[in-house]
Amino acid sequence: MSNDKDKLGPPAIDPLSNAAWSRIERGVFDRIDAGETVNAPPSAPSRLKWPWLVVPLVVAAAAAAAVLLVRTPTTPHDVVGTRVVQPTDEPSRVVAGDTSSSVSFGDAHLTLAPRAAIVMDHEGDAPSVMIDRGSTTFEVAPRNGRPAFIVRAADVVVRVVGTRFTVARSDERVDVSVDHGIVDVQYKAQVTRVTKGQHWSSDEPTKTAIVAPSEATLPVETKTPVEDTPADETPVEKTPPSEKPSAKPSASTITDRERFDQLSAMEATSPKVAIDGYLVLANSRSTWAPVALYAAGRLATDKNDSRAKSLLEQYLKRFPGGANAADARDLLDHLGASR
Amino acid sequence: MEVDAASLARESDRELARRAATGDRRAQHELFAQQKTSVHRALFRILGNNRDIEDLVQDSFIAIFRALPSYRAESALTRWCLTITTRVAFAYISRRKPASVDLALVEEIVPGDVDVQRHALAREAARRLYAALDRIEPKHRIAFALAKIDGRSLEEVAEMTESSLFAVKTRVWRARKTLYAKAKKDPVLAEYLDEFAEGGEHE
Repeated sequence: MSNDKDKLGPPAIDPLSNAAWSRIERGVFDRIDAGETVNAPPSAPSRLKWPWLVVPLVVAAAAAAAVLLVRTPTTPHDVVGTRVVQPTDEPSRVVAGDTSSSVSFGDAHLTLAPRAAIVMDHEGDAPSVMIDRGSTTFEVAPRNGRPAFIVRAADVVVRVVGTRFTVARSDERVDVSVDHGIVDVQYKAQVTRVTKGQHWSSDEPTKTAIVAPSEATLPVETKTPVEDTPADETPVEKTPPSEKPSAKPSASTITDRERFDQLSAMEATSPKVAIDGYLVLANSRSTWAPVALYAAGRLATDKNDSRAKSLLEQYLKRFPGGANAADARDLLDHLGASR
Repeated sequence: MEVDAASLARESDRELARRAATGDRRAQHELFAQQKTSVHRALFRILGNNRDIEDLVQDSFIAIFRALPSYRAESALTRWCLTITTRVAFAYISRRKPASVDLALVEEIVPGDVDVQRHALAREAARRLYAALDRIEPKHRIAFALAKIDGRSLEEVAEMTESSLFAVKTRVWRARKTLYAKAKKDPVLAEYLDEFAEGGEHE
C-alpha cells in the first residue's frame, strides 16, 4: 500500500436511512416530552434561568388538556373539543389523544387526527404550525393582505392565503391535500402550487395528482398514508409482492433507487411490508438487489422476524463479497449468540 | 472579516442554544437537524458501525439538551455537542463487552469488478480494525479513531475528549502500538494500519 492509489482509505461512513433518523428524532423528543431533559425544574430556583419560559410550557399543557377534555366524543372519530389559542400563547404544543381533536389558532381552525401532534407558533407576523406527527386539516380564513399562514412538516413548507387543506406527516413523508383554494408547497427549494382537489406528496415532489371529488371531501382519517395505520398492513401483506407497486399510482415508473428509498421509509411503520418489498427488489436483476436482500435480512433481524437467519444466509451465499457481507456475518453471529 | 463571521456564528449558536434550552420546540428541532450529521459521524468513527448507533445518537442529544443551559459559546456549538457525544461514546464503550471476532478468518474475495473487490476489501479491513479497537483501552480507541481514522487535529481531539494535547498524543501512540501488536498475525490489518501511520502526526 505504498502508492496513494492503492490505499483503501478510512472506512466509509454508512449513512442512516430516513426512517432511522425519524425514529431517532421521535425518540429524542418523546424522551424530552417524558421529562428526561433537565429543563429548569420549578423545584430548583437556581437553575431557573429564564422564569418567563414557564408560561409557554403551561400554555402548551393547558392547550393539550383543553383539547383532550373539553367535550366527550360521541363516536370514535368525533371532534372532542375546541380551544381558541390567542396569538400571545406561543409556542403551544397540542397533542391529540385517541380521537380527533379540534383547536382554533387565531381565525384558523385546525382538526387533528388521533395521536397527531403540532406546535403552534409565529414566524414574524405570520402564524405558523409545525407538524410533529400525524395528520391535521386546516381551515384558514382568507388573509386579505395579512401574512400567509405557514405550515411546516419535516422539510416541507406550505404557505396558505385562505383555504381548506390537509397535511399528513408519516416519518419524513409528507402529504398535502387541498379541498378548497390554493397553497404553495415548498420542498427542498422547489415550490409547487397545489389547487383545489389536488394532492401532493414528498415522495413525488414534482407531481400533483387529482383527487377524486368524493375523496377530496372524505374525513381526515381516511387520507392518512397507509404506513400510518398498522391495521392496513395485513391486507397489503397478503397482496402478492409483484403487485405491491400498484399501491402507488406511479410506482411502475419509479426507479429502483426510489423504490428502495420508499421501502426504507416504511421500515418503522410497516416492517413486514418493507421486508416483502425488499425481497421483490432482491429477486430482480436490479443493481439494488444485493443491498435490498441485505436490508431485508437486517430489518428481519431487527424485528425478530423468523426469516432473518435465512435471509442473511441467502445474502452471503449470493453475494459473498458484497458490500454488506461483513455486516451480514456480524448479524448472523448476533443471532447465533442470542439464541 | 473572518473574525466578524466567526463571532456572528458564535452569537447565532448562543441564541439557538438559549432558545432550545428554554423548551422552544422549533429551536430544539433546528438544533437536532443542524447537529445530527456530525454527531452520527463522530459516533460512527468511534464505533465503526451503525449497530447501536440509533440509541447512542438519541442518548447524545438527550445529554446535549440536558447540558444546554451550561453552554457559554466559548467554543462552536458543533464542537461543544461533539464533546458531549464523545462522553456518551466513552461511557458506552467502557461498559460493553467486546464482541467475539475471529481475526484469523480471511474473507474470500470473489472475482469480479475491481471497484467491488476494493470495496469489499476495505470493508473487511475496517471490520478487522474495529475488532482490534474493541480490545484496547476506550480512551486510546477514541483518540485513535478521531485523530487517525477521522483525520481530526490532535488539538481538536483534545478538546472533544476534554484532555490535554500531551495526553491525546500519548493515547494515539499507545493505540497504534497495541494495534500493531495485535496485527502481527493479521497481514490485512497490518497493511491497513500502515495507512493510518502516515499523516504527519508526531507521536
